Formats: sequence, structure tokens, C-alpha cells
Amino acid sequence: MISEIGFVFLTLTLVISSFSFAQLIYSHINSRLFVLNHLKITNLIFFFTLSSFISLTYSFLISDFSLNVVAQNSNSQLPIIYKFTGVWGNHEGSILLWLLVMTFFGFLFSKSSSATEEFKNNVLKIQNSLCFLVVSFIIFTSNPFEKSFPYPIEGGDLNPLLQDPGLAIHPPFLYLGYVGFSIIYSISVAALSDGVKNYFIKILKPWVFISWIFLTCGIGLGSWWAYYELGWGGFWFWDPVENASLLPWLTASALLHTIVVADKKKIFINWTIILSILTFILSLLGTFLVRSGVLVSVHAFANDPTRGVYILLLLASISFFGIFKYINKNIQFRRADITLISREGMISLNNIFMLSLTFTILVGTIYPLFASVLFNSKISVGAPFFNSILMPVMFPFIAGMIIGPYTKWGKDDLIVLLNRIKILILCFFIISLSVWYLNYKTPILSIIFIALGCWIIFSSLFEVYQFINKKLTVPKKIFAQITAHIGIGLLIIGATGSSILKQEKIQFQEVGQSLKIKNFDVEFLGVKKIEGPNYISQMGVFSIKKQGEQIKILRPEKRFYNAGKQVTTEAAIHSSIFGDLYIAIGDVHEDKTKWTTRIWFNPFTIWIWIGVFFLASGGSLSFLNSLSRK
Amino acid sequence: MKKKNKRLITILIFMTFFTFGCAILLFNLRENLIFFYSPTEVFEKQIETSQMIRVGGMVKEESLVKKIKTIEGRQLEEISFVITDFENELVISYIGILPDLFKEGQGVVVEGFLKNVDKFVAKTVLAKHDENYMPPEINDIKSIKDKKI
Repeated sequence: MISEIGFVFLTLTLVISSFSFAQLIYSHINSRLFVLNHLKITNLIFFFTLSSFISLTYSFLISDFSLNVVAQNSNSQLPIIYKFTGVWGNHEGSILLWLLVMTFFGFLFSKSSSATEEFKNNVLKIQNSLCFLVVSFIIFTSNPFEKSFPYPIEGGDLNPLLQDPGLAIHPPFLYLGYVGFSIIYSISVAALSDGVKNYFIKILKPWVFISWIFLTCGIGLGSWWAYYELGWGGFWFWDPVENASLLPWLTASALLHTIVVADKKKIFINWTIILSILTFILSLLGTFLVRSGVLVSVHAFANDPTRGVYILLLLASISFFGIFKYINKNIQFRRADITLISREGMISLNNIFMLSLTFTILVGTIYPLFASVLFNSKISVGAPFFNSILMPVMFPFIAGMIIGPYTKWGKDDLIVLLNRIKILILCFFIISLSVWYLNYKTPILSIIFIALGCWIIFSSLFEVYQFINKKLTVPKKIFAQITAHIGIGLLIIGATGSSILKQEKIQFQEVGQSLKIKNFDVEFLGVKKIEGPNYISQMGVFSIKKQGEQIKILRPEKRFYNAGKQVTTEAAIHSSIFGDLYIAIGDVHEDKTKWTTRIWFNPFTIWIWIGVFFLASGGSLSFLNSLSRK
Repeated sequence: MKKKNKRLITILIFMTFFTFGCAILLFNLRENLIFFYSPTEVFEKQIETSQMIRVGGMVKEESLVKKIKTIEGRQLEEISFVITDFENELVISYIGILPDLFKEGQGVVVEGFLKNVDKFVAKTVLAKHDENYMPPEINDIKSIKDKKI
């Protein structure tokens, strides 16, 4: 019963959002034909989608197996939390969540006070039309309320790999980021035809920050999940699905820098619009790659090529609409003359690098698609390609990141600039030497990257020092930038440690046997049998000792899920600021006294997550700043 | 006139950089491609032992063997199994923990090096998220498609 109501609400969303869509198409023929209040439509479709989503959630919670999605992706034994998160642990439900977030952003925008009613109306007309495209996609290709008769008494199971707290937080955050870019697209496209000139930049700014923060957190959480889940290739695998999320993040980061200049100097307005449109297109491309299964990915689940065709159509029409509007734009922008050694110049340089990276990663990601169509050969582009491309780009990029904040707006002189930061350059030498001294045994590449990470952190701290030295308080804007840049520095250190410096040991370990890795002694105490709510687990018990003293007990597991007859390996991790001890347990040896154990030491990994936290904090500070200055 | 010239030069510089960048990009791409083969293709093609490749197919039923090996004084478990495309077979050997979704009679993709004509040393055995999921690569192998129908 509840599920029928859910479907009715979804249909209502389709019908009502179609008004906005009709007017958007019609307005090109006759703009005075009829005038609609798109704000009301936005509110209605948000309410209807929310109700529909709640109905689906309810069906999952009561295990209504008459719904196909519930029957395939849930089970009555499933813990309540996974019944709930199972709503978006499948294709249909996750697209409904996508729609919910999209209507939610429209709803938030309709409540914001920054824009005029007329401009809001124009933006929401586009936003509602986007919602129309998505809701029609849901109803025609992936209806979550589809029923089957007779229905099963017991459901399949939620994929055990997805029965993890990661599923509760990673997709919602990622979607808030991805879909947040839809409102940025709507604002930019609306601004193109309205001729509101520079006024829209102030409206756009907070939305750019908020979406970027969510996407950053979403990627960070996904990375963390992939790190502790064995078999997903660690924190970053250069998997197509991971790359797909990085592409809009890179362009959004470029946008983040550009919009600051656009707001302050009223230049780069054109470029801001292009980046906004591009970012949303890349978000959609990501969805297409993830959902259609055209590329081989470890993170691919529940995909279907027929849906891919629809998403591709969606992608094409939204891109063409954006480009069409851009070509027929109603506004002329001031051409800017900028020099390289200036703040504007440095930010342009940042954008060039960000976009080069985006282009490179895009080529690497979709090249296998072209190869399979053009040369009929099946290939994959692995991590070595991305690493070899990324490394040379990193050096000028980091150099720009360090010098950038010290340049002046307008025009600056290189000699004067270098003179201003001469103490900093001296400090760089000292830092590099100390990093080398502390790690001289490790590969040269890791020393370089850790030193570069330290450079960024130190140069950011030096900015703070300069303000304090002049007895000034650090302006909020600068403080946000410093926080985010420190985040990047920490990220580089963490990523270097976790990839280049990691140590692995794999062996048969007897009960009672102790192994040494780094400065830890890992003693294997035995295996216990544990019964979970819907699985049976073999839990290894390891005592971690440092200089003879026990500091922690780690319990990696091997779980057997009853419903799907599946096995999962749950690693156990001991984190510290110097590195993570990561243990996984395998099969028992024939003589029943030895087990395959796999032990890693991943230096500095924790700094990746701390770095992401710094990035998100920096973004949040900028967001609050952009709200308060209105 | 002067302004026009300046713009032209800027565009030219950009184009040069772009072309140069693309050249590096494509060259790098060619260097780092990992080709995917079915066991039949492995036999038909000349594949160098230094080249990292991926091989995919079905894990042959009852082909999984675990053996204890001592390497550098440590006891390790060497796992071997047979990948088949129902025309040809290839023996895979692997040291490590198999992914959880690895099962006999199911599709698998391995990445590594060809050691002999019929022996493949895997560095990675690729796991997927979903137990019913078949990597598109395997789905494309014609003989497996026929067999499934």
C-alpha cells in the first residue's frame, strides 16, 4: 500500500516538473505564452520526491518483498541500519536519492534570499527541468516501485561488501556533491540568458563551496572505505569509478579559485560559467560511467547497458543545452589583461594545471572505450599511467601553490616577490635536508614528495607568521585558503607514505608465533568463532606489542554470510600518526595450527584523512564567509 | 594590429604546449596499456614475458590447488587454478589471499606475467563488488557467451 503511494508521488513529480520543462522548451518559441511560478513547482516536487523516498525507505524497513528492489537487495535478517542504507545500496534507490538531492538543492535555492524573484524563477525553471529528466529516467528505466507477483517470502541479501557503515555515509555525501553542481549549472545557464552580468557571481559562490565540500568529503569517505575494505585496491586505485569522481572535483576546485577572482575583480566571468557547466557535465559523465558498466571497475555494481543509453542521452542533451545557451548568450564580458606574476596570473595557472589534469585523467579513463570501439582491442589503463603523468605535473603545480598566495593582485615583480619570501626559501632547504636525513634509506621519490608536502604546509604557516609579525589578525578568507592548502600538503604526505613506503608481509602464522614489522611485534593468539546477526565469523586475535608492551588487540575477521553464501574479509587496523598496522586473515592450513595472515605497515596513512578534513574545513570557512558578506 | 598579433602569439604558444602535452600523454598511454586476453588469445598471440597483461575467463571446476612453498625462509601458500574459455586453458599461479568473491565455476580476471606457454604468474586477482556481476571483458569472450546460452 505504502509503496503504491510512493509511486503515485513519483508520478506526480514527473507531471509537475514537466510543466517547467515544457516552458523551458517553449520559451524559445514564445516567451510570453504562459508564466509559471517555478518556485512553487520546486517546493512541490521536493515534497513529492521526499514522500516517495520515505515510502521506499519504509518498504525497506518493513521488508516488503513484493517490491523487486527490496526482494533483491534486502533480507529480513538484515540489521536495521543496513535495511535503511540498503535503500541506496542498489541502482534504483540510489537514483531516487540522486533525485531527492537534486530537488532538495532546488528547494534550498528557492528559500535563499540572495537573488531576485525573477532570477530565482529562471534558475528553478532549469533546475526543475533537470529534475524532470532524472525522474523520467527513474520511471521509465529504473522504477524502484516495480512489483512482481507472486513475491518471494524471503529476500536475497544486501551485497555483504556493502553491509558496512561506509554505505551509510559515503553515497549521500558524494551525491550531495555531484548533484550540488546541478544548481551551479542552473544558475550559470540562467545567468547567460538573463544578462544579469556580474550580479550572479555572488549568488553562485556559496553553492560552489557547499557542493565542493560535500564532494571532497564524499571522495574522502569513499577512499577511506576502499582502504579498509580488502580487495578494493587501497585508498586510491585509479579505477575508472574513482577517476570519475575526481574529474568534477578538479574542475570544481578550479572553479573555487576562479570565482574568488571573478567576485573581486569582475574578470573571468566567462570562464566561471564555462567551468560551472563543465563541472556538472563531468558529474553526469561520472554517473554514466558508474551506472552503465561500459568500463571495467572494481566498484561497479548493479549496472545495465540499456540504462547507459538513457544516461548518455541525458548527458548529451544537458551538455548541448548548456553549450547552446553559451553560444547564444545575452551578455558581453570585459576582456581582462593579466600578467603571469600576479594573483590573477597564478590563479589562471592553477586553472590551466587543474584542467590539464582533468583532461589527462579523462583521456586515461575513457581511452579503453575508444580502443574497444575503434581497434576492437580490450585494454585497461592502469595506475602506472596516471602516476607517471601526475608526477611531472605535480612539481610546477606545487611551486605555483607555494608562490601564489604571496603574489599581489594586479601586477607583481618576480624579484621583489622572491625577496619577500627569501626566509621561506631558506626554510625549504632546511626542511628538505631534515626530511632526507630522517628518511635517507627510503626511495628518493618518497623523500621528494614528503619534502614537497612539508613545503606546502610550512609556506602556509609562514603566511600566518607574516600576519602575526605585522601584528595583524589573519583575514577569514586567507585563513580558509591556508587551512585548505595545509590539507593538500598533508594529503601528499599521507598518499606518499601509503603507496610508496608501504611494507607487506604475507605468511603462514602459527598460533603463538610472533612477527616483527616496523617496530611492532605482532603475536597471533588464535581464532575464535563469533556469530553476528546475519553471519558467522572467524575472528583472528592478534596482540600488538611495542617494546614488549601490549598496546592493542586487533581482531580481523572472515565472515560467512548466511543469505547469499558469501565470504567477506574484514581487516583490522591500528592507526597512529606514524602509520597504520593493517592485518587481514586468510584460510587455515591443512594441519589446523597455521593460518595465512597478511600484515601491512602503511606509513602516514592517517594524514590522508586528516588532510581531507582540513580541505573540507577550509571549504567550510570560505562557505561561511561567502554567506556573511552578502 | 598589435593587439591582434599578441593574441595570435598567445594562441600559438598555447597550441604548441597543448600539442606537446598531448604527444607526451599518448606516448605515456601506449607505454602503460594493459591488454586483456582470453586464454585462446594468449596461445595465438606472441606475448612477451616482460609485458603485464590481464587474462580473463571462467575458473575451471575442481582446479583450485593450494601448495605450501618455502620462499626466502618463509612458508607461503601458492595457489593455482585453471582459467578456461571452454576452448583453451591456462594455469594461473598466485601467492596471496584470494578475493572473497573468487569461486570455482565463476568468472575471474587476473593481472600478471606469462612465464611459460601455459603458465601465468598473477600479481593480482581482481575482485568485484557483486557476486552476480560478470566483468564485461569476460562477457565479450565469444566461446563463453555461446556456452552460457
